[in-house]
Amino acid sequence: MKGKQNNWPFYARRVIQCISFSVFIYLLLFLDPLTERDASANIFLRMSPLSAIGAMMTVRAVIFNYWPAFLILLLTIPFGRYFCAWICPLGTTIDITDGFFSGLRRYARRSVYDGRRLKYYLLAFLLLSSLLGLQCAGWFDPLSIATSVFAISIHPYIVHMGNSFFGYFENIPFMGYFFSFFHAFFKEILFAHHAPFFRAHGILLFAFILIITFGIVVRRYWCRNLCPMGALFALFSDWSLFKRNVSSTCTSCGLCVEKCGMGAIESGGQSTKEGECILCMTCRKVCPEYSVTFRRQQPALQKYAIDLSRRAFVVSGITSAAITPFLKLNYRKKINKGNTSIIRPPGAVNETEFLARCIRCGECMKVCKTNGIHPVLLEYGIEGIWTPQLIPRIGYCDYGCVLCTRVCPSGAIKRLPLEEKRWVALGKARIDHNRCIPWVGYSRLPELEKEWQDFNCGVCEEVCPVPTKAIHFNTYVDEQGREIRRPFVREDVCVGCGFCEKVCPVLGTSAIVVEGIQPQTIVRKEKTLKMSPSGNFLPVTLGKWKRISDPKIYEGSEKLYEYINGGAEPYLSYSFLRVTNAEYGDDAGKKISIDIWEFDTAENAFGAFTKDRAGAEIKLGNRAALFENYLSVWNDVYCIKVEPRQGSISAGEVSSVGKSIIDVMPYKKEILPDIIRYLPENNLVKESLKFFHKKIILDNIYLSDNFIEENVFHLSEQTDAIIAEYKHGEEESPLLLMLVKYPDSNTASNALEDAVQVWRTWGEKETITDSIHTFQSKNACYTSFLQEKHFLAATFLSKSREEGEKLLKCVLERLQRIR
Amino acid sequence: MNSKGKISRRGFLKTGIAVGAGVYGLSYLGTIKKKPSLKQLKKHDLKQGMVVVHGNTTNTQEEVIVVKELVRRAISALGGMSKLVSHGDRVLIKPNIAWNQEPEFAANTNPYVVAALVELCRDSGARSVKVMDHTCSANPETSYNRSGIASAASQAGAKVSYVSKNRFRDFVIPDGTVLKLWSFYEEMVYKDEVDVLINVPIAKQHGTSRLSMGLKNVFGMIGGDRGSLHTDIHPKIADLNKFVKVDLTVLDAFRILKKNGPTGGRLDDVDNSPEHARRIIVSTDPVAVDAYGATLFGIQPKDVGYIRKSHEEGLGEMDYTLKGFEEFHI
Repeated sequence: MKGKQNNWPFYARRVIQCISFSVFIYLLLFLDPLTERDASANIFLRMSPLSAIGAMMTVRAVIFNYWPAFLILLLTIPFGRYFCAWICPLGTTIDITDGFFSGLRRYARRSVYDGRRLKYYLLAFLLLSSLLGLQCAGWFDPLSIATSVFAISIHPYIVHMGNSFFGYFENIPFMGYFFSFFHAFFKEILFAHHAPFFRAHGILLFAFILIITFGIVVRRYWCRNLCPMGALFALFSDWSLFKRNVSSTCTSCGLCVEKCGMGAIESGGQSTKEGECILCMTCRKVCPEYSVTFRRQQPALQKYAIDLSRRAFVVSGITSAAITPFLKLNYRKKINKGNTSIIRPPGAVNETEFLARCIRCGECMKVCKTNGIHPVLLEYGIEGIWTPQLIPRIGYCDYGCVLCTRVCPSGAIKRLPLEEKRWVALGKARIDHNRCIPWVGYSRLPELEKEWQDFNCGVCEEVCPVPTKAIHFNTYVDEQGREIRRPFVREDVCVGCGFCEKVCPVLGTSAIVVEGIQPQTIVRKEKTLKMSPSGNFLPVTLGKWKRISDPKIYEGSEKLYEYINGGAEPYLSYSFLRVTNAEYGDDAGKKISIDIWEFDTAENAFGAFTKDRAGAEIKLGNRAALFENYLSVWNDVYCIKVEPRQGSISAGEVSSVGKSIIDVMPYKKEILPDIIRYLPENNLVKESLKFFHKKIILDNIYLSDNFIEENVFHLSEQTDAIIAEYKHGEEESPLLLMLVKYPDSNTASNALEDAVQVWRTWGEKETITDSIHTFQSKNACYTSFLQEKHFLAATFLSKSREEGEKLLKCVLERLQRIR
Repeated sequence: MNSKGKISRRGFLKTGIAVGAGVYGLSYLGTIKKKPSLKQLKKHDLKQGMVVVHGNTTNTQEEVIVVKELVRRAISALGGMSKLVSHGDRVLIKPNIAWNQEPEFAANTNPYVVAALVELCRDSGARSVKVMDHTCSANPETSYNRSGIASAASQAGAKVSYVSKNRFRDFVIPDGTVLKLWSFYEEMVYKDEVDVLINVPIAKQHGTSRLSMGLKNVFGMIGGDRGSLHTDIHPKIADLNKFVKVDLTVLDAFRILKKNGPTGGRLDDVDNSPEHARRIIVSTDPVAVDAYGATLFGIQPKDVGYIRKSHEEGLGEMDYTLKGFEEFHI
């Protein structure tokens, strides 16, 4: 050949290799923003035929996500082993590091094995063990290795190094601003606002260094001798259209032999090893005689066969057959009865399939926003090495994030839409009562004298992202009125995200620990969570008391009439749901009866509680009252009544029963009806407060000497009403204040008109001042009415006109202010 | 150095000492930097009292207009932002961006409230307006984006930034009763970092402290092990508030979270009714703001430990009508 040769193929290779590597790094650095936009940032991993075949053979299913891998493999038929030199990021990395080692290589004596066969045996081993049900192709897949090395070791190292470097200089006066500016820039390009950190980063780095240090002796050692993917490509490259041809002008100068990165050229440049040429085009470029061309036909003389020994194949086959069951031996599983309590990322398929599919690429670890996914070392036996696990103490699973489910190339983590992912339970949180601050404090309660409040905690409840909270409090109130709130986990709704474990302020191991469950479950999709039926709260024993009969549940109005024929109506006016009754007896023959009334809202339960509240208020639940030895308690949507039935029963006994029931109940948040805040507090008799909706409750309250037949106040389910006593002194007879909230102001004015009309018919003396209607009865009792927007306020049984009107004015002021 | 690329033992010693001295000397320079003084409350001509502005809309498209108008009217009723922010001031707005949750769940401050404040500050001639929060989510980015605050505030002209781990410093709380020392974020407490600090909480139910509003929002200005503060939380909130100098508190009660707070996530728990929500509360007194906020939940201010405590320790008035109270609808 005469004249100058155009070297474009070599430069084209270099350019494509650079682009490919840059794209690989870019996709890795900006993995999370890209995944958020749902770009296929995992494209490189999906290009790996080795993982694709390994995973598919092991699960015995087709993974469509791997179509690029087959495209790559298909292109190997016409183009040979192009992938290794043109695209492979690990190949490029090795090319770069080999460049650094070029000086050292000069002194190195070639004494390492360089026989090319190993990779075929490795491939055979991997494929055979895949068939036998153990997928370990991922450990040797160059794309997995490159991804995990860059993501788990190198990127965090660079970020931390940069942070400490800039952190040092930022503190220096004058120069500091300059460095801060660059630090911000550095963070921006490395996408490192949140410095990542991974467990076992050192082990991975060690493996990586091992791979690249062979470069000191032989270039692309990994690609020549170890890479099973290279072997796979080599097998397919026989039909390539681009095989190395050497024309007769070759002088056997040996330059190409020296320059070939793969060491694929033999006999002074004349022949090429089969399946070793990666089409890097270097030999073509360096040849001084321009005698190298690439074409379909290759003279038989220029072929140099790799001698694969049949015996070695048999050995590798036997090894894989022998080693597969060995690798599958799992001591951890054995001692944990099959459950290793590893928390897999959300959407992980069942464990056997997961291990078969997971190609150990570390992409899910890289993309995790909270840095919570880390590689498994030996917790899952040998076959589980390098699979992902969530370590909540480092990073929890964000309730609003699905990124890891999007990046998995092999479907080990299935893709989940956010709405579905929120219901997937990765595990269940468990509280260690010996570590949890309130639990420990609670158990020490009798001996606590001061600073008991230091034992109230609740960070876990606070952060629980489940909309209805999977962590609730049991509140224990002791005789001195001190409250300790002990958290407990509602396992039915816990999704095991681990946020609680992350934030638990107990030093060292968290007091609340998530145990992984496999397979992952879907938690109950319930809109509202209610502990029902309330029979749950009536256990077989309550302290010394034993349940005599099974709890009877009366649900709905029909059944309630059955239970208390006459008195059902008032309870129904509070949207009654059900009542559970059980009798308990002790060894001494005493008997008590317990009713647990359940209403639709806490407000209504409060109403029912106020309806028949009697006696002194005691500290229990939200509110409780004890009248001799009758106890009634309001707690959330429940109203509990404990009555003595037989034998002499003390007030203390009754209240301790009440306390035990409350202890089992969740939610102790006091939700008072909203209307209460309009009541003036001065002189209010708190125990007299009654909350209701319908007229039937009002009928039992003495308002006037005349009985009010009609529903003059227009009370209905939609109205919230409250009635309370006001007293100046202990002896004085009380004044009654009623406040009604109507759905609209029209109803309110109608009610006022009708009420005033009724009082007029009784012939009481009427005066109107400041839109307050006041009536004076014959026995000098005053009744006043006032309407403000959709509220109606009234005072009854007032001993003087001013007193009632003054109170109404107070109400008016509050109505105007709070509204 | 004797020959090319080689270094003698003596040369190694000399260079080593020189480099070591240089590195040490440079870091020593950092320590002699003058200790920055702490931010004080800014002198202002705003009214002392409280302004509550009500406004309702059910249309989500209109929300941005209504909310921004609410904030503008509230601030102008208090005297106008120019009474607080003077020309060239550096303003830091601290919303609640704690959780990775959309605005309609009322877990984070309404983004339009933040945006409106940014605009007002810029209009008053602020040199820079920063918006930041120390989120509860491990990765602030998700919360910033999903809450809508990142985009709304940066569109309005603010610099939205994340807290940086190495800018938390321990400070002595001079009159702390329970907490004597805690770590605060430098940018929010140093005088040469910030002139005006505006706290923009949202009103929420909270498991440990009952309610989370202005005083509790200070948890987003601190570092350290925040979980450990949750034991005996009430006096600790009061102590933290003694240290931070919040010039203005704007309580977002356009939506309030009544149950399952502070994370929320259920629309049933969010109260949008004009009776309890749909309003913006502004005052320079953080305790008064929280006291008013408590009434929205039907809770007496004195029943909330940290409000009572903060009042007792002289941080503000629990009776929010005391210094003047103005309320109107738009």
